[in-house]
Amino acid sequence: MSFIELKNVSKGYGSGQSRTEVLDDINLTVEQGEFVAIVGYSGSGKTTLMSLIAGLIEPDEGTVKVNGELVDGPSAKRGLVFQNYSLLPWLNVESNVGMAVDQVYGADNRKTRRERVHDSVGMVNLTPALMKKPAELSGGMRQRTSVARTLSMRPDVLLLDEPLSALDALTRSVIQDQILDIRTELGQTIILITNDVDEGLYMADRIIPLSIGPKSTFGPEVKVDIERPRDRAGLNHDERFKTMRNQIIEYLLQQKEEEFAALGSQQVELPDVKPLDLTKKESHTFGWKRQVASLMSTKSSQN
Amino acid sequence: MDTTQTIDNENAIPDSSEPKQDRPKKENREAWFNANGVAHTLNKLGLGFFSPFVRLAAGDEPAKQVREIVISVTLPLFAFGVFVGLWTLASFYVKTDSLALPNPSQTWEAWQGILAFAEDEKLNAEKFDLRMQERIVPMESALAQANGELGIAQTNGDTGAIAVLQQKIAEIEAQISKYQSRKYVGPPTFFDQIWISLLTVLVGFLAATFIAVPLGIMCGLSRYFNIAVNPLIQIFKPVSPLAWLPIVFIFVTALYSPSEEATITRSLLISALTVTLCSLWPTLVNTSVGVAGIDPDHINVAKVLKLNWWQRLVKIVLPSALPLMFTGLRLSLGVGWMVLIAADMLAQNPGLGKFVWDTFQNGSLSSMAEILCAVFVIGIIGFFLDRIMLVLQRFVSFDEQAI
Repeated sequence: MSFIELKNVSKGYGSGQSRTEVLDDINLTVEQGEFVAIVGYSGSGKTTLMSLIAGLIEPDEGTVKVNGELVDGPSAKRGLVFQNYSLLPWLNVESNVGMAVDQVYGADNRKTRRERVHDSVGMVNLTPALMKKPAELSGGMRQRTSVARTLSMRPDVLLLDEPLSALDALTRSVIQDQILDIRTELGQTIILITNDVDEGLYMADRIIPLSIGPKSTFGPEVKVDIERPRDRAGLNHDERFKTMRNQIIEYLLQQKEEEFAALGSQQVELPDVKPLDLTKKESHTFGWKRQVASLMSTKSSQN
Repeated sequence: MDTTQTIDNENAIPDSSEPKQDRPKKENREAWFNANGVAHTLNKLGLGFFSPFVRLAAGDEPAKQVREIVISVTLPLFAFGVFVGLWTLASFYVKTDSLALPNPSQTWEAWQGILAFAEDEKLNAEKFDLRMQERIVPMESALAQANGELGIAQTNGDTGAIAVLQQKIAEIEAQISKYQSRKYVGPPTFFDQIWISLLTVLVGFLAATFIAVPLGIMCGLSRYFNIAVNPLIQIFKPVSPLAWLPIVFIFVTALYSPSEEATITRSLLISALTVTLCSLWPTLVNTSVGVAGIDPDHINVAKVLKLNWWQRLVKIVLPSALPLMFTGLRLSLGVGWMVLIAADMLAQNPGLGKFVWDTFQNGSLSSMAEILCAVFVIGIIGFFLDRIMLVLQRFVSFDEQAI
C-alpha cells in the first residue's frame, strides 16, 4: 500500500452558474520517503491539490488517504509550507515556531519545547535571527522560518506549496539545498508544488505535470533517475536531464497550444496602427508638443 | 544598547549621503552612544522632533542636523508669530458693549492671575491645616495624660475610674478625628478643574473601551450579530453629546446615589457617561473591522495548527486586530476629550467646561482672557492625550507604519 493515495479526486468551487471545476479525476500514489514534484501553470489547481492533501478542504468526489487513513482535517503529521510564508507578524521567529511546537508537544516541559524550537530554527540556519520579527527578515529568511515552523512539528509528509516562487534565484538555490539536506537527515516524504521545471528536476524523484484548468488532471509523469547528490552545474550538460526537461516542457507547451486552439474563436482583433516614422523631422518632438501637434492636425483634417 | 544592536542599526539604515572618509568619526560616536538607536526610539515615542538634536549631539553630519533644527524651529515660530499678529489685530476690532477680545498680553496676565489664585488657595489650605493641627496638639497631650491615668487605674484595679477614663478617652479621640477629617473647602482652582476633567474623561473612556471592545469583537466574529446590531450603531453614532446628556441624566439620577465624599460625583458620572456614549463608536467600528479583516493566511495557519476557538481568538484574531483597535481607541479618546467640555458645561461637572461656562457668565473684564487660557490648556492637554495614545498604538502595531 502506498503512503499517500489520491483516488479519482475531483474538486470545484462555487455553485450553480458560477461553479468552476478545478481538479478532475486526480489519481496519485506516493511511496514513503519519496520526493514528488508537481509542475503546472498558475491557476491549474496546484494549491487546491495541496490543500486537499493537507486536509484544509475536502474533495467533492474521490478519496485522499495518507498512511492508510482517510484525511478528514488538518494534522501535524502533514506539514504544509505556505507559498506566502503566513508568519504571524507580531511574533518573532522563536515565537512563530514556538506556537507550532506548543500546539503539538504541549505535554512536554518548557525546556524540551524550547530546545525543539531551537533545533528546527538551527536546521534552516536562522539561529542568529531568533528574536527578529518577520518584518525585519528578508523573503528567504521568512520562508525558512516557515519551513522551520513546519519541521518543528516533525511531520511525516512535507507539503511544499510553491515555497520558493517569490524568492530570487540565488536564495532559491540555497533553500533548495537546505530542504534536500533536511530530507537526507529526517527522511520525510515530500510533495513539492512548483512552476519551475528545473527546480523539480533538481530536487525530486518524480515529476508530474498538471494540465491547464479548469478540470485539471495529471499528465504523463517523468521519473528522475539521476543519482543524488545532484550537481547543479553539471546537470545542464546531462543528456538524461535534457531529455526529461524537454519532455515536460513539451507537454506543458502543448497544453498551452490546446488552450489557444480552444479559444481560437475568441481571438482579439489587433488595432490597425502604424508605428511613428522617426526619420521625419516633426515626429522628433515628443510629449505635450507632439500631442498638441497631433490634435491640431486632426482638427485641420476635419476642416 | 549593546554593540550588536549598534551594528544592526548601521546596516539597517545605510546613510548614503555620508561620505566614506567619515568612518573614524563614526567610531567616535559609537563610543559615546548610539545616535541612530536613540533617534529611532524618539521617533517611536512620537518625539521625532528631538531626533536632530540627538544626532547633532552625537556629531552625526552636523550641517544637516543644524539645517533640520533651524527648519523645525523657525517655521513653527514664524507661523506662531503670524497667528499672534492676527490675534492682536483682531483684538482691536472685536468688541461688544460689555466684552472684548483680549490681546495676547492681557491673556498672559490672566494666566498669571490663574496661577496666582491657585498658589493663594494652596497657601490658604496649608494655613487651614496648620490651624487644625494647632487645635489637635493640646487634645493629643490630654489624650496621652488620660491614657497614663488609665494605666494607673488599671494597676490599682479601680473599676469606676477605668470606666470614666475610658469614656473620656473615647470623647477626645472622636474630637481629634473630627478635626483631622476637616478639609479646607475653598473655590476649586483651575488645576483642580483640570484634574476633574482628566478624571472624567478617564472614567468615560474606560467605560467606552469596556463596552466597545467586546461588542466590536463580537461584530467582527459573527456576521449575524453584525447584521443585527449594525442599524443601531449607525443610528446612535452621529448623535450629539447635547442630546445624550438628558437621557444619561435620568439614568444616573435614578440609579446612582453616591456618598458626599465620593470622588465620582453624580455630575462627574453624567459627564463621563456622555463622553462614553459619544466616544465608543470609533473603537467599536475599528475593532470589528480589525477582527473581520483578519488575513485568510493566518486562518489557514490556525487550521493547520488545529487551534481551538479560544486559542484562535487569543493567539491569532486579537493580536492581528490590535493595531486597528488602538487606532480606534486613539480616535475615541480624541472625541471624548472634545465632548467632555460640552458635557461638563451642561452637567455642571466642575471641570474645564464648567470653568469656561462660569467664567463666561461671570463677565468680568478678565473673563474672556481666562477663557482663552482655558482654550490653550484644553488644546495642549488634548495634544498630550493623543501623543500618549500614539505611543501605545505604535507599541502594539507590528508593521511600525502608524502615523
